[in-house]
Amino acid sequence: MNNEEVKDKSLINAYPTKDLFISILIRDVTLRDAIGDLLDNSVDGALRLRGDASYEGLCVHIELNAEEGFFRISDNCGGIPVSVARDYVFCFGRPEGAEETGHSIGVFGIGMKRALFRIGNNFKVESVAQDSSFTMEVDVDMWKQGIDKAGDQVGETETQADWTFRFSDYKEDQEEEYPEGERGTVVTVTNLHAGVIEAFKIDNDTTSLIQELQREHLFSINNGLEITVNGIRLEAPDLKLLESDELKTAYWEGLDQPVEVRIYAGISQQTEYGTDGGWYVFCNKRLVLGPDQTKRTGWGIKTPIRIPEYHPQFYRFRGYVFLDGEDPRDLPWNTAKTDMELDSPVWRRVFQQMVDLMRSVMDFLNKIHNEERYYRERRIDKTPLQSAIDNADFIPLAQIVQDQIAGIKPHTVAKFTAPEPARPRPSPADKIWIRYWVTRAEFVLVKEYFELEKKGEIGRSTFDYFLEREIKS
Amino acid sequence: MAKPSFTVFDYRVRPAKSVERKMLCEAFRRLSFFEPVKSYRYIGFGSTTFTDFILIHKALDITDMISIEKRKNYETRFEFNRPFHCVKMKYGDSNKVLPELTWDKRTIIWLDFEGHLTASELQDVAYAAMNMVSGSMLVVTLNVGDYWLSPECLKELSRQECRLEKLKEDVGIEKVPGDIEGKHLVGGGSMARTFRRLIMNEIDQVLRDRNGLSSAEHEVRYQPLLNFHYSDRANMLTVGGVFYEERDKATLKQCEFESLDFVRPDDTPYEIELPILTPRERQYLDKALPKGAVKEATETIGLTEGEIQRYARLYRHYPLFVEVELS
Repeated sequence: MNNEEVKDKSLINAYPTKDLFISILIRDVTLRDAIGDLLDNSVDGALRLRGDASYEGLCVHIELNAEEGFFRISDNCGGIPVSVARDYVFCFGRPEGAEETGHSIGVFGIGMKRALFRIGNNFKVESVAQDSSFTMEVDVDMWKQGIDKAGDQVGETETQADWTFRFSDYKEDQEEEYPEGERGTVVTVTNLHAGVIEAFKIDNDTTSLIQELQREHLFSINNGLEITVNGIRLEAPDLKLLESDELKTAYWEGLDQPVEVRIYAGISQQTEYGTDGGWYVFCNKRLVLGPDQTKRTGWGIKTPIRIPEYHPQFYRFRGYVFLDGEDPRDLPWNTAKTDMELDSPVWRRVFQQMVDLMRSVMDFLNKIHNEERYYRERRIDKTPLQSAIDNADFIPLAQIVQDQIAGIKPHTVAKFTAPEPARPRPSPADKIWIRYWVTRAEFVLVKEYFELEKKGEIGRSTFDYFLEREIKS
Repeated sequence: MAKPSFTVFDYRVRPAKSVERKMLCEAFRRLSFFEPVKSYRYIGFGSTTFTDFILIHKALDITDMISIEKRKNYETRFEFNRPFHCVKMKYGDSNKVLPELTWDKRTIIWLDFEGHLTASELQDVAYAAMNMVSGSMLVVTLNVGDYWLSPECLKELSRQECRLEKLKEDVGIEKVPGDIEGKHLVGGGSMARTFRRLIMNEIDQVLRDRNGLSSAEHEVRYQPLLNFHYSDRANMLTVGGVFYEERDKATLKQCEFESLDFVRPDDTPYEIELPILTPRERQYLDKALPKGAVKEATETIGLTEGEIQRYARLYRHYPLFVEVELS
């Protein structure tokens, strides 16, 4: 405060301190979220660099080093141009009228700073982009107090805090472009906060971090991006859909709005069980929801189409929704990117189409189920649906999406198509069906005698036994 | 299971229904500003008589026709009675069949239900609203006769309360607005108004969702046009309207639906009431129509003014039933 200035006594100073600001910023942010945000930034780089093409050759390495006390994330995904760093990356909030950064996951202009503040006190960002490069080092404690690197107090007052960061080194508008292989970003955080080092020491924390990151970046990993955490390469289950001339994945697109929508619904491998069935919703290629088997993706709804609750019979169902927006704020996700905004107009429209496509896949799965039964009952001789599955190929989702966008093998908007099932013969009239109850104890005895598992077969055997011995002989 | 109604009575001798069919046909014809009506698809419940299919094929030359039939066990009879080759049968519940169809062409769909409004009927309305392209027409017919109320319910609640309970049970509590009471569900006009409102609510909701990704000119709207109340045996309601994209507003205007005297875009019903007249009386009256000489006719044939006016409104559609010996 300038002592010579007369203090206006009617004035209330509501200016926030940097300390308060930071504590609000990082409140409710878990360490996992922070690391996730930084990875999102790297993956954004990959998306900007390659668009819908393969990410082969791009990598992101994350190091959590408890012994030496640092966190580092480094990538070769194109780097941050100096101008973007200056006008966007290190600003709090997205400046009104800021230039679009292109399809990205980082939305609200706070991700990276928030993450860095959350992890430690000192951070260093080094980046090499096409024709610019910079290094920036920040000691957060000093920055809070308004002390610059040289240790001098910057002219900071109660109402005139210094909210700037300073590049320690930067080059801009270079004549000669940096070679592609050198472009990338390295973020190192040291002087880690209490709790962070402890977390890095817990193996189980790292394991669950890896699992969550590989789930979120499922598509990018599938698309060839190499992500490692402490040298362990993240792996994602192959997303594949059965495709052939006979079996066609259901598809819908809406491409004339700021948010481009592509929806695929089909079936996956037969050998898989359990947990992967359902819908996967990607916003700018990052998984936000899924595999989802709840009402929010249509399971168990009644209108406008009745969809059954998720059931193991549907474990082969796979639905993939891609929402892509130049401006990530247009996408219907929440700030934590962990769920869809179910009330948003975009999501409502997408949801309608999802359930419509889904219904056609359900119908097919039900028909397959019936076909198996009719075949078992010898009411059909051929199984055209099963044959269609056997003759189809598993096509990686990433390839389907690339082919779609490049127009190589585009899907047209249509529901799931499959061959007509065989018409079953009516159950023969000269046969009758016997049902009766027995006690469990009696049943076990008979079951052990015949050494059979299925109740129907056991019952049939007792009948045959009687028929052979008492009637026919 | 109850016997299907076509085995109980013959649809063709329901005079109000017959008038309704012809009026619908006249309304359908107006759609030709969107595209020649003959290239539309017609979806209906043809039953064994296919009366609507015969009329629409003959009058409008529509050839893409689908009859939805849930009673697959009567398949042979349906196939036998299929009046034209261009009528395709789809077996199954309409809830199941509608999602199996493609919806990329203009369609006229007449969901000619026999029962009251339930979640199942609303589901079909929702599905149509979600999929019908601009220039398509949806028509829904429902029974609005008084509810049969269960004795168990009447033991504990009043008739009015039981009616409301019944509606909640039928359509789902989430679809019943808070201001609906039992008195809004008395058979006939009250119930018809309520059912119409529920259908409009459903369409509003679905269209709101459908338009979530649309630019202003592609937003889909619904223009209600039909609101028939009539009774042959049971009280019936028929509502209908056109789905159109905002950019096609001018085309909709060209259709001039409002110039059809039976069109009712709002909550006021058009009552189809047929005076019972002899052929001789009709011939006499027809001679003076459409101008009409009411006063003179009351004197000559002894009909009331009301009867004559009602006839004058409907005479173009008034059916003639005669007994014919077919050998």
